[in-house]
Amino acid sequence: MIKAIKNKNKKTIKAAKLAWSVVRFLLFFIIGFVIIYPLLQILSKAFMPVEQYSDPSVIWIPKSLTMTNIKAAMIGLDFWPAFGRSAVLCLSCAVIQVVMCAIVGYGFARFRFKLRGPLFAMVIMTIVIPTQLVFLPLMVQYRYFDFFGISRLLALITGKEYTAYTANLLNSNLTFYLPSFLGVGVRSGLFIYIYRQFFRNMPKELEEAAKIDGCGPWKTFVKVMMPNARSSALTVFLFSIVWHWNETMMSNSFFSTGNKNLAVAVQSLADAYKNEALIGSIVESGLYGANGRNLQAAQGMAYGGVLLFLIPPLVLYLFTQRFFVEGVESSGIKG
Amino acid sequence: MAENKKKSSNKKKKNDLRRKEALYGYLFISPWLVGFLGLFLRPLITSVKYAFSKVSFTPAGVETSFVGIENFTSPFQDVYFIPKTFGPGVSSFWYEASLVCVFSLFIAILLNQKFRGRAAARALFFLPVIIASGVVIQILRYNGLDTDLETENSFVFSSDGLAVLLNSIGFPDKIRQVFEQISNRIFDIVWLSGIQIILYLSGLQSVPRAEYEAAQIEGATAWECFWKITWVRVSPMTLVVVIYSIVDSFTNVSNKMIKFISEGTTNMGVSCAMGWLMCVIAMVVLIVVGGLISRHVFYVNEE
Repeated sequence: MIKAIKNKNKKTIKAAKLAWSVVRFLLFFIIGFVIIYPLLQILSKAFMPVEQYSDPSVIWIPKSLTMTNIKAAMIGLDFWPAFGRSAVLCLSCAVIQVVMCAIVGYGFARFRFKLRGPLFAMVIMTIVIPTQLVFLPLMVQYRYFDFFGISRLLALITGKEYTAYTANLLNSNLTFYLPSFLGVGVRSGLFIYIYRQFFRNMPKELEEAAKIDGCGPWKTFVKVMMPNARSSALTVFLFSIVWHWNETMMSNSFFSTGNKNLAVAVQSLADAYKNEALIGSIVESGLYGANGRNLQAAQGMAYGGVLLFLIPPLVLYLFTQRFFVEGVESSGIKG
Repeated sequence: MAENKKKSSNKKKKNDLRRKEALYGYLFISPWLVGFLGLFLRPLITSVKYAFSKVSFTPAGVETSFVGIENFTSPFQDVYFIPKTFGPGVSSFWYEASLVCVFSLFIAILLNQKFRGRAAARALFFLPVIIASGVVIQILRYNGLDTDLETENSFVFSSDGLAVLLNSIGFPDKIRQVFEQISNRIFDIVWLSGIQIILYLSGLQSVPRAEYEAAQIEGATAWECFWKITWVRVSPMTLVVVIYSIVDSFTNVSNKMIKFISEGTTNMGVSCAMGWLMCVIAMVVLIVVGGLISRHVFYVNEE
């Protein structure tokens, strides 16, 4: 009797579990679709001939495939030079941030000094305060860069106008390298935080052993701590690449028209229909035939451009997604 | 006597060590200190000055002249500024943060269960963090082209089908509108939740299994388990998630005020003034919300 009830119970539990996994699958499927939807849309429109955009019988799958949009976007974006500029900027900044944020993070994690608390609060402040606030004066500062006051000092000594000793950093990659090097670049505060969390949780014995072996603090950091921080370094490296790749606000104003990186170039494709020069070059290329001046041609070019823009980070993510997720997980645990 | 001497020299040695440690600490953080003072604090102070000045560019540099609070009031002269820019800019945080919070906890709980394809699902939910840049959203939202200003409120994902369905079932108009609002924003919510889901997931993984087992033996339902164990245990993470979401909402490029600050005006003084206004409002919101939530946060006493 009791056995029968137990069996029955087991059966209902099993059924409930099965039902739940079906529901869960459906939920994930729907939400997953919401995430994938824009990618599918971009993919479909990028390879769809623009004539089919307004064709009501075409919804997702193009009737025929074309490379026209991609080719037009290559012209509109000035793709390879822009891609090269973006790649160089992203990789250099990422390397700089991996090294410099580690040094600063280690300083905050392992040494006791009076102002440590308040100064670390300032690191957090650099994350919370919107970049928009500092970005306009920063631009002016880069235009007349005075090397942190040295120019003004020189001007005082020689009696000349201080602008005689300033440099114009705008339009050069230094506008990104310099802040990255000094730990105030794109989301540097967050990277310092990630490193600090990591170094804080390392066993003290490691450093003590290194000290007995005669290592100074710097040597300990380079020889003992940094090799252990490989996973954090990789997380910072990947996030830094992605965020620099997507950055438009600063690069839009710091670089002049011929010097745009890929993200800004893609952004300007959204206004392509207003850009006479761009339309001219598209018409000239003859890619869209007689439709070169149509709005739809500009639309097709925009979709092609976004696809080109998204391919590099997507490929990167495909191979390294584990490190992105684990990085956030391990840094956010203990606030 | 000798012992005393030894003690004092020991003390001196300790002090020396402390001083040395502090010196190395400052050395390690010195790059950041220079950057913070020169490239963050200095522009920040300049922007306060700009906020109260008329800013003009001359060949000899930048010239500013004090104008009082004019920069703060002049955008508000425009009748459309409050309903179209300021209002949505400073109020979007509350529904964004609350929806993101609920949604990300829900998804994190689902992802924390064991099932096949869990790793793939996790990777999928984090995908928006990688590609959700303003650029991509902009092109999608405007269907490729930024042609019409009236499409400001267009959604990447529209749900006309749902509206018709709810209407035909006979839902009152008001409830239907609420549903529509939420479903139209589902895209934004899902795309904003990437980091928060992972944060909750890591919070959930630190909840001890034994507590659930004990509760089950006592006969607690799943609903009770959630409110009595999960919700309490992840409450520190809720604080982090809410604060992160509010900051995100205030600084995101899709925020109407941020858009106005970076593109909507050519007057640098007005830009800085509005930036500071946003910053102050965000701080007040953070302090109030953070204070309210941290009263209910439960911390496990750790040794």
